[in-house]
Amino acid sequence: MTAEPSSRERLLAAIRHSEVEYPPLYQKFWHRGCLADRTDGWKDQFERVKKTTRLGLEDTVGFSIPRTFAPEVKISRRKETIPGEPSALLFQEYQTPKGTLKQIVRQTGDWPHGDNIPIFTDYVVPRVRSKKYLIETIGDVEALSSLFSNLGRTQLNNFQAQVDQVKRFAKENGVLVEVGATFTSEWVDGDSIFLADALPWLCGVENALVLARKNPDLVHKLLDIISEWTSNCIDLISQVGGCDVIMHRAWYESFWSPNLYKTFLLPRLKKEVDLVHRAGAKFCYIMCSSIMPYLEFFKEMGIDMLYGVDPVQGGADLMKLKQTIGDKVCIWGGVNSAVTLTGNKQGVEQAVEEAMRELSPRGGFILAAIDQLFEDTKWDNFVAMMETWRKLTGAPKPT
Amino acid sequence: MASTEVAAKLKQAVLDLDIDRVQSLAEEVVKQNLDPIEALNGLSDGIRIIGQKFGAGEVFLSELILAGEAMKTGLDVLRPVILQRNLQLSSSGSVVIGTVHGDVHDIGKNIVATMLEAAGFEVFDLGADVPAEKFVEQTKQSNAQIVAMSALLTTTAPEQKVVIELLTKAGVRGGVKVAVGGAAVSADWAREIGAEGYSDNAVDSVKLFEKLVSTT
Repeated sequence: MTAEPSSRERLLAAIRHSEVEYPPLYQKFWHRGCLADRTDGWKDQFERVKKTTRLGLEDTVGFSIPRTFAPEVKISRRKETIPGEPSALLFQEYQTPKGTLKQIVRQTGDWPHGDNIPIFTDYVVPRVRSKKYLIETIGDVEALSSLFSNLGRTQLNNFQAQVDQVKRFAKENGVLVEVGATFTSEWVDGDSIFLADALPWLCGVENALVLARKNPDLVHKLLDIISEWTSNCIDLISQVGGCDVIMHRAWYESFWSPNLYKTFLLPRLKKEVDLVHRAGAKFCYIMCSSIMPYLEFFKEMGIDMLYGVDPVQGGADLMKLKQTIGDKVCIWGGVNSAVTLTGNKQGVEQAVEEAMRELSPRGGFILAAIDQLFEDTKWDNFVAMMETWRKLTGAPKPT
Repeated sequence: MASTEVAAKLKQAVLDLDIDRVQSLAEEVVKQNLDPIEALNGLSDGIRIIGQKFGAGEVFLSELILAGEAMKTGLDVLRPVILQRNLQLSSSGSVVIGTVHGDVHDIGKNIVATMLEAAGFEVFDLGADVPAEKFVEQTKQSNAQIVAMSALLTTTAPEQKVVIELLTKAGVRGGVKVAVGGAAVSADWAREIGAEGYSDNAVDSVKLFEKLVSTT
């Protein structure tokens, strides 16, 4: 009698396009900390995995990658109320060995970070909130290059201890280790694997594109610095070992036209994929909207998985997608999460049937509602999704 | 250089996504005391064409954003002169626009606002993460004909309904049309919450707003 494959083996088989007993359902709960309701929540990822796998779903564990400012960097903050400004202004300065970085943000009512301005937060992206972005000139780019440094011994030891706990749990429970995109929308302390997604945080969306046009050298230098951060993260992941999949977040990368993508991003992404492969991990690319013009690039980059295939809001043509990259790239998604959020049972069933019909033949498919199961998604709708998936695949009923 | 010639060059500069060229041409209009309205029409023609190309899938979001930046650069130079000379802009209508509370995504909304300005609308842009009360307050203050709300997240789309309810409560709902858009929104959703208009892209939104104004 053959032993039943573990969740990790099942996911890896799907990623490799090997034969699987059934296409896995692996749902992300980026902003939802519970199953049916708040009383059915989890205190950490380990508890979540216990609950989701009990439902017959796949799940993974991971760790956030620490980042540290260089010891010479001095950070100062002040807050001012200025006549004519509807909100208080937060000023933050980083004195680095290569210059001073300055940032000014309007502390609007919803600002969630107190008097601090984190570098990596979506809240600084809109122009109406950022009065001055961190990066505007080539001098800023220079200063940015000396902002962070390698981890000290104590930080490394703490990190290793965190990783060891994750690896131990993964081994005991047969789940996959996935790193790079953490579990909430804000990674103030931890790090993420990204390239162009950092530009809106550092310079704003519009400014980044204007800079790419008017001062391409500046953007190339900036992207080189971000690539170096990412390379360091991958090195660190490689050192501690045990990571199966590295997730590269690219929610903002489809803002770049294919021409800009080819010039600024593609060569760096190819190197990153290569680095991930050399670290012994699979590369998962997260892009949820307007993916169709980039499919050939994904093949060229050699990505292993694409997270975020959404036929409604994301505009993915499932049939064309499968035909173009489906035999090389594992497709993760297929169902739009607005369908699970506001739709009815019949709509959910139809969406799952369509995703399975178009994406599951010949393997290389993981079902999910994209880009997540929201906090206010009706649990009944997700139950409908699971039941339809079980009916179509023969996946086992929950234990 | 004649006004018509500058207008044609401004249109071409927008089509070329050449922000610096737009800036220098607009400054030339001011320096040579040329017709700023004609220059503005040149900018508008340029962005309209880019918008149409975007709708047809011939250009991408980055080009649309850059064309919008070019248009804004020109507007920043020309608008003070238009005001100073007390010139009348023909108005297609007035719109209060913003991304709803809880949602910080404003790229799509910014593009729609720019396209509307290019089409001659008076636009009151409230920005992103706008509290419902602010929509009502601005609508009252400006007597706008349309309230336009964007929501990128499925979790924030219900805020559009909250704004509509507040507009009703404030007694101004009868005087305005409501249009909704954004990745989280659909025509069904618009109907469900009682919005008169929905568009899934910036180009069609201009047509939609023109239609809505004609029925106010």
